[in-house]
Amino acid sequence: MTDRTRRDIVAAAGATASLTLAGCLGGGDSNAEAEAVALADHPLGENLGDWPHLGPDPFEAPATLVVLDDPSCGRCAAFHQGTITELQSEYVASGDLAIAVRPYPVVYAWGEPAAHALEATQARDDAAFWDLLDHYFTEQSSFGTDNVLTKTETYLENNTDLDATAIADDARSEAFADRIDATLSAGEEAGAGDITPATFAFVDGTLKTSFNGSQSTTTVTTALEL
Amino acid sequence: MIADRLPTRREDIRLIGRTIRLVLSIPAYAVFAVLAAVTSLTLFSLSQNLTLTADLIVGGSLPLADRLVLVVEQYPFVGTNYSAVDGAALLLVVSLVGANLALVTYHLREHDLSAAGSGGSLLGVALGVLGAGCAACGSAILLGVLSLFGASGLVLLLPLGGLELSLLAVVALLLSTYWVADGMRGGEIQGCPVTID
Repeated sequence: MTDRTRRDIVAAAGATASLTLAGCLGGGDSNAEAEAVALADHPLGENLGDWPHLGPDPFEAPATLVVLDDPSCGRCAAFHQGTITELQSEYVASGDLAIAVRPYPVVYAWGEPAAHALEATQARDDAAFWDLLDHYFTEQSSFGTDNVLTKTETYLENNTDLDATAIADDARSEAFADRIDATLSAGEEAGAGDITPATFAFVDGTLKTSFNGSQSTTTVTTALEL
Repeated sequence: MIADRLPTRREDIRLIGRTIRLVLSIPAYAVFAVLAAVTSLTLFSLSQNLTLTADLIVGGSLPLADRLVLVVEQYPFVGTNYSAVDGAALLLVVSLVGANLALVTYHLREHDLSAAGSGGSLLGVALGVLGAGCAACGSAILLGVLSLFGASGLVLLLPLGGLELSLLAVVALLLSTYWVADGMRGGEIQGCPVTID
């Protein structure tokens, strides 16, 4: 092979690789730098007190995670059952970390009625919200759009003192649609896109970074310098 | 005929395996393949979390050790981002990327190529590079493209929930590797003939 031919091949290969990788790096989140945004001024901080949280007041805690969860999302289930459970037992319990969760239905279709049921449940009892969310994650494969609300009603009837029928009716009539819409709008404004779990990490009330997926406990504690 | 250029026979698969084995038996190319695989894995893993990467791994004020921890925690089976199946598929893809790039590099450095006589090899080189980029991007590119049309949820409708993209990358890489190996027929690697009879 002549040097000219070889150079042409290598140049073409390099150009192709550069274009491919450029496309790759440009294909994700364009919000490349965390700006010094206070939680109170962040889209997801607006009325955050209206959503349930674990640990200290999210606005006062040394570190705060705001998590957007879809009940139908498999990696959300893994994140809660692994990382959040571990964080809860150590850092939430010690008061060093607050974790706020907002239902964010963008994955499978049954996640939307489930999110409405979560909002209707939380309006009546915070603790039942966490139990129902855990139930969705644990039994994820058994839910579909045709059965999610009947199964939710049965679960609430058997495991809480709440009016399960009223909650299911509220979910069917989308009585809390304004809360779901508010979270969807805030998530979009914050750059969460359609990927869950989407987690926004604040230290001393200021946004430090955000991440997607079921990140490990080590990643979270390293990022938050806990 | 395009069918003649596809690895449809058992001998074709053996050719891929033999060529990879011969090239990777050379220590320098084995090291290169591992480095290429690790680079590809790192690029793909970090591309899934660009904000975290920009804020804390590239930017920010964390000590170097903490930045490295954050990088390693993005890998499958070290961190918790991937299910076992997705993690295994990703490792398969990046392993193929490493082997593929080692073959391409060997072919360019050690064998005589000509544009007229090695059409298959040139196609293999192009696909190999595209395959490497593809593996580094994986679903991120397709998700990005689909989201332009407001249809990123389509990936979720795929029977394997997006794992198909990794399998497509595997097919592309195998094709590319075959075409590179096919272009090396008649040559020798460390005195061993590439051709399988």
